[in-house]
Amino acid sequence: MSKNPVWVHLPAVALCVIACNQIRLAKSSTLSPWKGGGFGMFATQDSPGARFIHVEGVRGDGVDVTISFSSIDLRELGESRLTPLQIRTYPRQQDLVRLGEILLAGEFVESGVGEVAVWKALMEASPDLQEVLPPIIRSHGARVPMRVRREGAAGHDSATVHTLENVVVSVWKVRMASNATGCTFELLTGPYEIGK
Amino acid sequence: MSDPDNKSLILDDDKKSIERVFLLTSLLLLLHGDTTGMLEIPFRVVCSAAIVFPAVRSSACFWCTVSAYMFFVNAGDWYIIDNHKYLITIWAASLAFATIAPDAIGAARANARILIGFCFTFATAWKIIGQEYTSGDFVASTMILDGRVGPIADWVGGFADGELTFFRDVISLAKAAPREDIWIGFEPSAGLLLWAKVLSYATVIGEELIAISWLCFPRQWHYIRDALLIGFVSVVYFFLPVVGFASILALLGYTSTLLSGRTRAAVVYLAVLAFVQFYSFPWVLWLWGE
Repeated sequence: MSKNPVWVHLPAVALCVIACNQIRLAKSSTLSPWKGGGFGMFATQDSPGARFIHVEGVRGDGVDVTISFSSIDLRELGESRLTPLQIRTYPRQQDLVRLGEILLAGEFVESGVGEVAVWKALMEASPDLQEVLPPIIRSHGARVPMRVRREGAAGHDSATVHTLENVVVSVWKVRMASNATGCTFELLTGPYEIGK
Repeated sequence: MSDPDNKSLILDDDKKSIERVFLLTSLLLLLHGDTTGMLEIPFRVVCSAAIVFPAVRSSACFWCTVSAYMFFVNAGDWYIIDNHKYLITIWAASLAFATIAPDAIGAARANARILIGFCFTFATAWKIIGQEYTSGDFVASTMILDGRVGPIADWVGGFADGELTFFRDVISLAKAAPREDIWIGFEPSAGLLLWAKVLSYATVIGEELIAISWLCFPRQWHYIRDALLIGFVSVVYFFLPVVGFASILALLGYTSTLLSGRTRAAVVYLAVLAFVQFYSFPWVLWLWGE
């Protein structure tokens, strides 16, 4: 028999409490099953890496824009607390509203290398894409891709600087269908509209 | 009558064993314990001190301070840190409790065994309640969408060169304008779906067996649970190289066996612990890629 009192197993109890709470949060809210101490990694497709932030908005001059989030670093906009990884892992309304406010305070330039711009270039180059991509995306190419203006960057950031009048922020996840017959997107949270 | 000299030798052996656990855990914290800058620098200092000075790593003060600090820092990032960081933090707390328990070896040994069992219990639970695993859908989607295992997917699925990369690129581009009615079709091969199903069932059954064997099997069946855990850590993390997770599981196995007096099994765990450090190299790409 062990000479030890029961309290030596408190760490194991903590593991169980954390894991049960993680299952509750992942099932009842937007926490990714992969994170939060519930050992749900490699169990579902809903990993933070399969989630993405989508931002659309309207510029001060009335032009519809989209903002590339694949390479954005919120520190460039003066935000040190909130990160895209945090938002993707556990997207909550207050964080998305905060993100919108950060973007409204930022300065942007037109991007030649945003997803939409790359997509447009590939659409012209590859006939395969004409068949694969649905018309809805083609029509969406009208939005102008923007990226954060980098202070001190030489050359191309001398382009016209824009601010945003309003933004619409949402978080989505990529999901392969049953038997891997195709891929679709699911809206996880939002869209939230934040205006000046 | 017991021989006092012999008892003293046994106590010395026990002390050496738990000393080794303290040493290896300090090394693990140094290599894989940090999650943010707030942990990185302090860990380099205190864990280096613990590795060099036996008195530091054996002290209750060291383990209580380290585990409390880890809990404090990780609590701020609780939903972005990886699951093995939780396990490492909880293991550090277990050693802190062991240092103040009447039977330190018994406490460390029991907690190592229970933590392995609970970890695999919840991992299995998620694979069942997630509803994507037993159908094979998760493994199939990982093979198709995760570039790290792309060469294996090409191999088992018989896909044409660049086919999966093209599909992934189309998804990336479609993210620019997401809609719920977007459908990007894919033609999976029968080979890929079969492999996905086989691997899914093998993983769920394997993880469940590990959980049951570490929590419920009698001590004399230790060969089974050691073989299962060593096999799992050696094989699974080769393909999905989460070295920190492989390391903490190997260390928990090492602790359980060493503190039970099964030195040979402990040596195998030690070898696995050393071996998995090399898993971060891109072996899959080297072996199966172009």
